Amino acid sequence: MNRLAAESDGIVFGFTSRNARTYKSMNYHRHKIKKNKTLWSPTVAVTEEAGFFNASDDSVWSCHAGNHWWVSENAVRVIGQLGERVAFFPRCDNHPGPWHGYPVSVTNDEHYEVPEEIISEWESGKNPHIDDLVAGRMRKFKI
Amino acid sequence: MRRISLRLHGAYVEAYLYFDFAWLISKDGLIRAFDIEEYCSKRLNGSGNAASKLFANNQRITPENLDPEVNRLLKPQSSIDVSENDIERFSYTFKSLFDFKSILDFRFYYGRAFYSTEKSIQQFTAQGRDDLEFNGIGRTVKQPLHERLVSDSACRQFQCRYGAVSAACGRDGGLIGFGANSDESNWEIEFGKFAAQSYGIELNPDAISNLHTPTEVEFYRAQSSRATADISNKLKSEEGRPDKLELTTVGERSYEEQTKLIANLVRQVGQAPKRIFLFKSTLWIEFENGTMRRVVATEADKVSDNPTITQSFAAPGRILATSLTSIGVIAEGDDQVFLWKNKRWHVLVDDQVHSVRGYMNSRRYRNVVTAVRRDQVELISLFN
Repeated sequence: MNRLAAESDGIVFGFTSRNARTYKSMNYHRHKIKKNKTLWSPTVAVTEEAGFFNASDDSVWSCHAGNHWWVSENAVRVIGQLGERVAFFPRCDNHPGPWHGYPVSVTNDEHYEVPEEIISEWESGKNPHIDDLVAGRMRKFKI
Repeated sequence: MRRISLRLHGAYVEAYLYFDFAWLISKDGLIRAFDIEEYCSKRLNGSGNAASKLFANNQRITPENLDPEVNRLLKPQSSIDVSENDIERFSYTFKSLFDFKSILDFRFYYGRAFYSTEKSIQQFTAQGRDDLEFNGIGRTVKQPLHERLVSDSACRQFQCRYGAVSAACGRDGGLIGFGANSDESNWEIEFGKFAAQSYGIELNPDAISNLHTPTEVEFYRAQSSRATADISNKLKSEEGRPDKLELTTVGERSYEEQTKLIANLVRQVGQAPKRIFLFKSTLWIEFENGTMRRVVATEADKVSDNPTITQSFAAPGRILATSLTSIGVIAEGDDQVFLWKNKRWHVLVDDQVHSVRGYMNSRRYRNVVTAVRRDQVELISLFN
């Protein structure tokens, strides 16, 4: 996605290939500004963060609640400063956005169980995005 | 620390050692009971007897005086590979009645097995070699598994102690069933919900500790009485010293003062807790800064009025799950499995695992750890 604007609270990117949505990388998920906000790993560039959202939007990795989810192939990539490997993009009803997102782990916050429909989607098909070990770890609340 | 591995090749998703077998579950729903001792005696020639002591029955080993053949096998990085064909040859095979995508946990207790899928909890009857027979053509079973669904909740962690089985079911709550030490052949567990949500449970005679969230521990008052069940020698080999007490009831949340004292101890550390792991007498706390501490929370099996916290030590990385062995605490990390021994983390398995567990309460498998990897189940026999 292209960088559209730098605002006081983050950088806006646009537009996702499938739904023409915008995405804002929030400063408080990049630097310790607010309490209780998870932080992206420094190894994740701001453009990559926006790319994760684009990939999630493109693949329709959205749960029944309308939130979007992302994980790297077989969850090999660490994306959060506490070791998180899953990204969460809460539902945004404004079109085109901006959406925003952050790294999550159910091991630290029980509100972020990866929904079964998302795990099943990632695990299914001829070329599954995750294998049964990683899918099992998600169902066991390990990642 | 010395070790040797028995590597059971094949794609399994869970494993548990009980009675004479390594119970192996594969994704196609087959449950295999692999006869470890028979394999060792028939396939390993001169080493069979020693391998059998290491993997099939640790009761036959005197740790302080290991016999020469056992000593010879316990070489650094040594392993014995069991082919898929040999697993078929030395296994009794059952078909699960229930479809699943994942097995979340698997536990045997007093001759019964409990396993959870992503949808429900099932129970079946554990069988020993005496219940099964080899008739020269194939392996047959005298009795079926009596597999049945016992809860519509999905359990991420079972705990079995004091004649009770608990199930931590996340937002579905904490469940517990009593009387699991019953010797009635048709006994079936009846789970009752005692906690609104649960991410881990530990059982003590007067209290049940529960993780309401991954970082918030709460205690429920429990009652126990003297255990009356008379257990067979066959079960004694599996369950170690039988519990003298059995849990009978669980009440409301309680131990408010002790809960506050523990919370204060954690607050005084000045670091945000990331995750708590429950053990019988301690809580292991992983902090966001990558350190850990232990809180000694019980005294003589009772919730302590004077909990203490240890010095910090480095975590081996993010910890996904823990288990206990007679050698030390096992921690499953994202990419490796570690053993905490002599105040150091040792890499036990350099791989991702479906599950890893020790058999602290088993006499027969006291020194063995099972690690379920993508392409094999590794039985690791550990000695000092």
